[in-house]
Amino acid sequence: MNLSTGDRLCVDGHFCVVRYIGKVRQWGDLTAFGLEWDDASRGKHSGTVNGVKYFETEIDDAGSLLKEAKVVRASCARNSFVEALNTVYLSGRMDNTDVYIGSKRVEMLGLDVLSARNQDIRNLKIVNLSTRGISTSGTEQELSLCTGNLKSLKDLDLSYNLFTDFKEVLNIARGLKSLKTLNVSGNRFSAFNNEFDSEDFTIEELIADDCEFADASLKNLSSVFPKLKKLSINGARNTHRFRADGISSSIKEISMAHNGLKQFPTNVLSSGIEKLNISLNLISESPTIKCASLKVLDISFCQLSSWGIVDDLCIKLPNLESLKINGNPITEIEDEDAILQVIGRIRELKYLNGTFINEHKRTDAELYFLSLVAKKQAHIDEDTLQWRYLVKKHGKIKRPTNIVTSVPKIEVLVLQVVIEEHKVQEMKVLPCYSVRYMKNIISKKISLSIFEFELKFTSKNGGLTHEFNFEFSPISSFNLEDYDTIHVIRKEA
Amino acid sequence: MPSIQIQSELCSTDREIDLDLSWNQLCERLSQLSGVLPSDMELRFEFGDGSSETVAAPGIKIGPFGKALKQAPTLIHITDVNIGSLAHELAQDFARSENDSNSSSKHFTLSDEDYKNRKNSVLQWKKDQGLGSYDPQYRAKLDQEKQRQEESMRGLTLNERCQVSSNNSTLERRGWLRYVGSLPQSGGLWCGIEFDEPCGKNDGTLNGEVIFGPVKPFYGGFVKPTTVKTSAEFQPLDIGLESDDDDEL
Amino acid sequence: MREVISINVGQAGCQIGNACWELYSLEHGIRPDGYLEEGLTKPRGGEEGFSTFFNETGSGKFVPRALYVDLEPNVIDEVRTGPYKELFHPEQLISGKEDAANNYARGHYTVGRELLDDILDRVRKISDQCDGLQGFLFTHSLGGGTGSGLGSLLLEQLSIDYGKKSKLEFAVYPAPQVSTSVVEPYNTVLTTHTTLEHADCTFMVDNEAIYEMCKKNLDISRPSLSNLNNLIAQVVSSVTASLRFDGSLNVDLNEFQTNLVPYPRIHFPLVSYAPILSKSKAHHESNAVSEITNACFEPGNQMVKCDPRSGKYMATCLLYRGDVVTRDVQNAVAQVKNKRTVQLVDWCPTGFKIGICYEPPTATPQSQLSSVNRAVCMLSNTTAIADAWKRIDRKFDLMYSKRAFVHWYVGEGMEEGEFTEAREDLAALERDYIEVGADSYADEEEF
Repeated sequence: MNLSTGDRLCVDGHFCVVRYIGKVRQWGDLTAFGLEWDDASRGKHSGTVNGVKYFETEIDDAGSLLKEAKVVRASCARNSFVEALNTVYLSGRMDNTDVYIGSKRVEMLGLDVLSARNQDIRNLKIVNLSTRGISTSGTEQELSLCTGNLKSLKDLDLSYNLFTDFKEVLNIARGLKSLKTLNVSGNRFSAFNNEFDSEDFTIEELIADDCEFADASLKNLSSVFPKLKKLSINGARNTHRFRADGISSSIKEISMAHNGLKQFPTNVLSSGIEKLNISLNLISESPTIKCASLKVLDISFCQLSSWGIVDDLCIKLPNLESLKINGNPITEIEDEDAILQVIGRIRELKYLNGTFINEHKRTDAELYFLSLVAKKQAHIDEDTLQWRYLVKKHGKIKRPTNIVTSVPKIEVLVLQVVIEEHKVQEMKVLPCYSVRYMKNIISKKISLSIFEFELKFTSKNGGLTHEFNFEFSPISSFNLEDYDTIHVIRKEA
Repeated sequence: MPSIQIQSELCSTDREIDLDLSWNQLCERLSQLSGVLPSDMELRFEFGDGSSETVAAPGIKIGPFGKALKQAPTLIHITDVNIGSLAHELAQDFARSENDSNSSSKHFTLSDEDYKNRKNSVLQWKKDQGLGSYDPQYRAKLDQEKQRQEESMRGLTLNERCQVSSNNSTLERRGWLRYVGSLPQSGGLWCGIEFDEPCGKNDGTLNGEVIFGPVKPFYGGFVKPTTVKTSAEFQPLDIGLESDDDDEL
Repeated sequence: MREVISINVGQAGCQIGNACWELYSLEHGIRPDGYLEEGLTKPRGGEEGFSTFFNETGSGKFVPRALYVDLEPNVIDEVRTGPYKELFHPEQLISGKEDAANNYARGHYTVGRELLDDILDRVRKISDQCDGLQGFLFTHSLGGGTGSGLGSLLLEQLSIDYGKKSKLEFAVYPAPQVSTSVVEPYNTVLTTHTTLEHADCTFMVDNEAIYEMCKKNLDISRPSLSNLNNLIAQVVSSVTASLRFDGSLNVDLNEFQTNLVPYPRIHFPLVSYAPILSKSKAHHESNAVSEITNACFEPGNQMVKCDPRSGKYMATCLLYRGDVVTRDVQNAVAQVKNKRTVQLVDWCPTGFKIGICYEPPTATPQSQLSSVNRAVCMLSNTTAIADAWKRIDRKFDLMYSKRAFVHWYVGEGMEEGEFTEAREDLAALERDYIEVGADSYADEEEF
C-alpha cells in the first residue's frame, strides 16, 4: 500500500490518520503503522510504547500501532472521486445476488430502472458518495470529462471520505456548474494552509460537520463560495476559532452545534443571519449585540441558568419567532413551568421547542408568568418593553388564591417526593387518586415517561421502604400519612 | 371554544368544550369520557395563571359552568369520590390484568369447536386451499426434512469443534457445537454454534431465552444440523472479522 | 387514470387529513390556494401520478380528491377558515351539529346515519370527476365515536355502492397506556368487527408510539397533536408515494393487497419508517441505505408497539424513496438477511418485496423533521401485530364482564348481541393469527 504519514484511513469502519510508518521493536522486521483514531476511545496510547516514542497524538491516548498486514486487510480501498462514481453509479447492479430469506426469493422490483437512472449521469440531480474511501479527485483529464457530464448535479455528498486537501474537493466542484449543495462532513482538511482565491462557485449550501479545517481555510470559507446561503459546521473540532470576518452577507443560516462555544458568536450575529443553531455548546451568557435579522434560534442543551438571559434574548433578538431552549439548566427541572415562562417572556415567539404556540396558549402563559411575578416567584425588569407589553395587555395581576367552593371539605395528603436522592419536593394529592395518576403527575414534573421510573414509599416515622404493588389502587389503600416520603426510582434502560 | 385538558383515572385527553354548557351538560360530557357518574364527581379546574378551583357536587349546580368560573380553565381533573364506583373497579381490574397476564377468568375464549365451525377463517382457508399442514406434499416434505436433519444429527458430537457451511454463502465458518435440539418458536432440530468470529446472529439467546452461553454478541447462532460437521480437525480459521490482538499495540 | 378518493372521518381523521394534504401539496408543487407554485408548468409527479390524488379544474386550479366528514363542526370549521381553505371546495367539507359523544352507536346508528345520504351524495360527485376510480383511502380513529361508528358505516356503504373498489385505511389505534375515553376498547372492537370484511388493507398508527418518536427522535419536549399529525402525515405520504409518483411497487391500490395480504382478514400490516431525525440532530447520524434499512427493524421506528422478533412475517415490502443506488439496496438486503432474524411463513402466497420511488421525501417547514435525500418505509404483515388486538380485547372483556357503560350503546338503539358478536369475531381474528404462524416447518436456515 502506497501510504505516507498524514494520510487518512478507514480501518474496520474507524477513521484515523497515519502518524508513523516504520519498525517497532516488538515486531522485528515487520512494518508497523502508527495511527491516531478519530474516536479517541479506540486508541491505546499517545504514540509511546514501552518507553519508546514512535509518534505523538494530538489527542491523548488516541493512538495505536497496527501491523501492515492488518492495515492492508482491514482498511477500505482508497479511491478517487472518478473511480468511486464509476463503481457506485455507472456499473449497475451486482449480478448473481439473489437473496433468499428462508425459501423465498427477495423480489427486487425496479432495480433495472434504477440502474438506468443512476447511469444517466447527465440527468442526475443528487450524487451520494458518502463513505466510499475517496481521497483524491482523479486525474485532470478524467475529472473534467466526468464533471462535464454531471450537468444537472445539484447536490453532492462527499461526507466521511479520506480527503485531506480541500483543493481536491474544489477541483471536483469547479467543474459542476449547477451544484448547489456540497457535503464534505467527516473529512479532515488539515494539510491545506494556503489562501483560497475567490472563485465563481455556485454552491449555496455547504455542510462541513465533524470536519477539521486549518484556521486559514476556515476564515475564508465564505469568501470562496460567494453565493453561500447555508453553512453547517457542527461538531467541528476547531470552530471556536471560526472567525467570520469574511462572512458574506448572503449567508442566512449557520449551524454550529456541538462546538464547545462559550459565548454567542458575535461575529455571526452581526452578519445579517436569520437562522442559527448553537445547541450542544457551553453558552451561559447573553448575546452581546443586537441582531434584528435572527428569526430562528436553537440554543438547546447549553448552559443557560438564569431567566435574565431569556429576557435578554427578547431584547437583543427582537424578531425571534422560533426558539429551542430545552435541555438548559433553567428548563430542566419544572418542564411545564419553564415552557410557560419562556412564552411569557418573549412576546414574538411563534414556535417553542418545535411546538406551535397558539393565541390561547400564549394568553395562558402570559397570565401564568404575571402571576409568578406577583407572587415574587419570578422576576423581570419593569423597565423592559416586554413588561410594559404584558401589563398593557393583561393589567397587573394580584396574588391569586385557591378557592374551594361548596362542601364537603377535601382531605388533602401532603407528601414528600424524593427525586434522585437529593431533590425533595412537596406534593399535594387527594387520597382517592390512583397510584398511576400520582405517577402521572410526577412524570410531568421530572419529564420522564411513567414507564421509566418506579415509585416506593416510606413512612415519616422511618421503617421499611414499600412498593406500590397495585398501580390502579387509590393511594388511600396504602395508609399513607402527611409528610410520608415517596421515592422516585429511575429504571435502568 | 377553548381546548381543555381532561384528566381522570381512566382517561387523559384534550377536548374543545363549550363554556355555555350547563353544569349538568358538562358533567354528562365528562362522564362519557371518564366513566365517572355525575353524582360521584368532584371537579378541579386549573387555570392558566396557576390557580385552581375545586367544585364538589358539580351536578347539582345551575347555570352555565363557564359563568361560574373566573376564566376558561386549561384543565379539568375529575375525581371519583365514590370508592366503590364502577370506574374505580375498572381501574383496579386493568391494573390487575396488567400485573397478571394469565388471569383468564374474565376473558372471553373461543372454543376450538366454534373456531373450526367458522366459515371465514384462516383455518378454513388453509383446509380449502390445501395450504401449510393441509398440503399433502408439504407434509411429506416436512417428514423427509425431519429425517434428513435427524440423520445428520446422529453424526454430531456436542461441545466439539465444528464447521458450518451454507448454500447461500461461500463463507465457511467454524466454532464450537454448543447445543442440539428444538427451539422455542421454531419446529425441527437446530444446532447452537459458538462461532470463532462475530459472524452469527445472536449471543446464544433467542427472544430473551438463553439456549446456550450466553456468548459475546454475534458470536452465537442456530443452524440446521445438515449444515454442520463436527471434528477436532476443524481448528479456527482467521477470516478477518475479528480484531486480532496480536496485530495491534 | 386510476384515481383515489381520500375520506377523512372524525376529529383525528380530519386533523391527519390536514397534515397529509399539506404535505401532498408541497410534494407536488401546489400552493395552499390550489394553484401551481411559481416556476412550475405542471405539478410534480407526472400526469399519471398527481391526478390520482388531485383533480385539475378548467381554471388551472388543483383540487384534492378528498372529503372531510365530522359529526361536530369544530375541526372542519378550522379547515374552512385555515390556511388551506382555498384548496377545498365547500362541498368537500361536511360537518353536523351534534357530536358522537365517543359512542360508536351514535356514529353508526343514530347521529351518523342522519348524515349518511348527504355524504354518499358528495362521494358520488367526486367519483363522477374520475375516469377510472380505483378506490378509497380512509383516515379515522378506532377509539373515537365518529371515527369508529361513522367510519365503519361509510366503509360498509361504499362496499355496497362501489362493489369491489379497493378500500385502504389509516387507523389511529388506541394508545396502550393512555385512553382518550373510557369506552375506547368497545369502539375499537365494534368498528374492527364491522370493517373486517370491508377494508382491504388497514395501516394502524398508535399515538403513543408516535409520541415517543417525537420525544426521542425529534427532540420535541412536549409533543403537541400537530407534531404527532405531521409525523403521521410523513408516514402516510411515504406509503402513498408509490401511487402518486413513478415507482416500481404498489403502483395501484390493488397491489397493496396482493403484496401484503395473504388472506382478506389478515390485513393489518405494521408500518415502520426511517429516518426520523430532528433538524438539529441530523448531523450526528448517517442515513446511508443500510442504516435506514436496519432502523426499520428497530421497535423505535414502528407505528404500533409490538415485538416482531417474536412473530412470523407473511409479507414484507420495503419501499425506498429518493436518492438510492442499486448496489446499496442489494447490500442492505443482504445485511438484513445476515444480521436479522426474519421468519417468513413459507406456505403463504405473499413474500419479501422491494420497491423504489425516485422522488425524495419533503418536510413541511413547521415539522421538526430534517429534510433528507432518502427514506424507507417498511410495510410488514407480521403475526406480532396480534398483540395489539390481544391488548384491546382484554380491556374489552374486563369492561364487558361488568356490562360497564353498555347502556349508552343500547340507549342509541344498538342491540347488545352486537357486543358478543364483535368480540367473537376478534377472538377468531386472534386465532387466525395463531393459525398463520403455525405449522411452518422451520423454513429458516439460521437464527
